[in-house]
Amino acid sequence: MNRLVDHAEHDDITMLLPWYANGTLNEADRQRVDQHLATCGQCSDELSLCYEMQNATLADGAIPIPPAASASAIIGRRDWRSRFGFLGDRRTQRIAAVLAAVGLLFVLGMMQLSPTELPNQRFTATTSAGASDSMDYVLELRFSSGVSQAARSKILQELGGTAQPVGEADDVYAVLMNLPPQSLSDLDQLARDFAARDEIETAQFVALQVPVR
Amino acid sequence: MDDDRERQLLARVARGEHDAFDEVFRAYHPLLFRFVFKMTASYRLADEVANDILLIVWQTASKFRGDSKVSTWIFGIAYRQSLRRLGKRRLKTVPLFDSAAVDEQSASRMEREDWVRQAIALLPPKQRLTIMLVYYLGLTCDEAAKASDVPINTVKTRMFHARRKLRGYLGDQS
Ligand SMILES: [Zn+2]
Repeated sequence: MNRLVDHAEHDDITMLLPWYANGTLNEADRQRVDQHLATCGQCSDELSLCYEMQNATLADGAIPIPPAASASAIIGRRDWRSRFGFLGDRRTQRIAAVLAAVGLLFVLGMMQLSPTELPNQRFTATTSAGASDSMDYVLELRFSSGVSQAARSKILQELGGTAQPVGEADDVYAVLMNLPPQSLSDLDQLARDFAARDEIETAQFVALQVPVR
Repeated sequence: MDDDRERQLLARVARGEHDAFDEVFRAYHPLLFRFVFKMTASYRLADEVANDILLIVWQTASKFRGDSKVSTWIFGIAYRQSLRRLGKRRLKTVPLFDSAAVDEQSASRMEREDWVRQAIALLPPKQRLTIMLVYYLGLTCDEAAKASDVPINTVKTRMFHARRKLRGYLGDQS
């Protein structure tokens, strides 16, 4: 038996073990791992841990039965969004703005009625607002790693162009977005939509800039 | 469901066909629910995130570039959405693996598998999610890299570091 372990081979094989365990290695790699395992005790130990992790991950005993959800409920809940926002036509935006303004006033009213229970503590509205055509929302955006500066600029342009870096990190920006008044849940959804893009790691509306009268 | 079938379905979803989306929904919702539940241990959050993931599938089906399997693309959305939520949520995890806190007897009572499961829960979100992609969803290295939008070597390294950390938590030698 060969007692001399090839270190480069060992490093390679160690990295492949999770996929040896989950059975998705191609035939050539699987044979390489088999050969190496015959001579390397350390990789055999590592493989045991891989199997343990796999078993722990797969055990489904404690998982409750998912709620009875339906596709139509999800689509119906937010399908109107596709006709609203930046993509919608002017007239639709107007109508939506009025509806959203009513919602926002309601929320702001709630905030005043129960100051100890803010509906959403992330938002810091320092003045009260009347219904207005549009408002400035601050979106905090973190780009995924590896997104080029050009791609970032393009996205920031798309979002209105008023952006500045936040803190030390060069991948986080505060973007000022001028939108028709939105309800908090709409803003959350909008942020989620941004975060769903490949280039964007996280997106969150963190503040609301209200005109001082 | 095979990938060809899923591609056809997704193309129809992109055209706004509700019954195609219904089929995708029924195929994926239970799996996505379990996927998120395993990481958050929250019924409400699992339901919410599973629905969010599928809503994004509905809204962005036309952006599917076809350079991966449909399932990998959906798991990529699941990865990002879960990461968002896990990042925000400070899980109440007791450092069970502080050797001083666990006496011999309770240690032997606890099944090793439970130890491993709880130790996994202590790992950083990206490592946990990668473990879920590989061991729970059974993705290949390449698919896991695509789903988490990182190079293949990053996925390998995450899995490697997860094992190092886990050994630390579990008090294993080596
Ligand atoms: Zn080895």
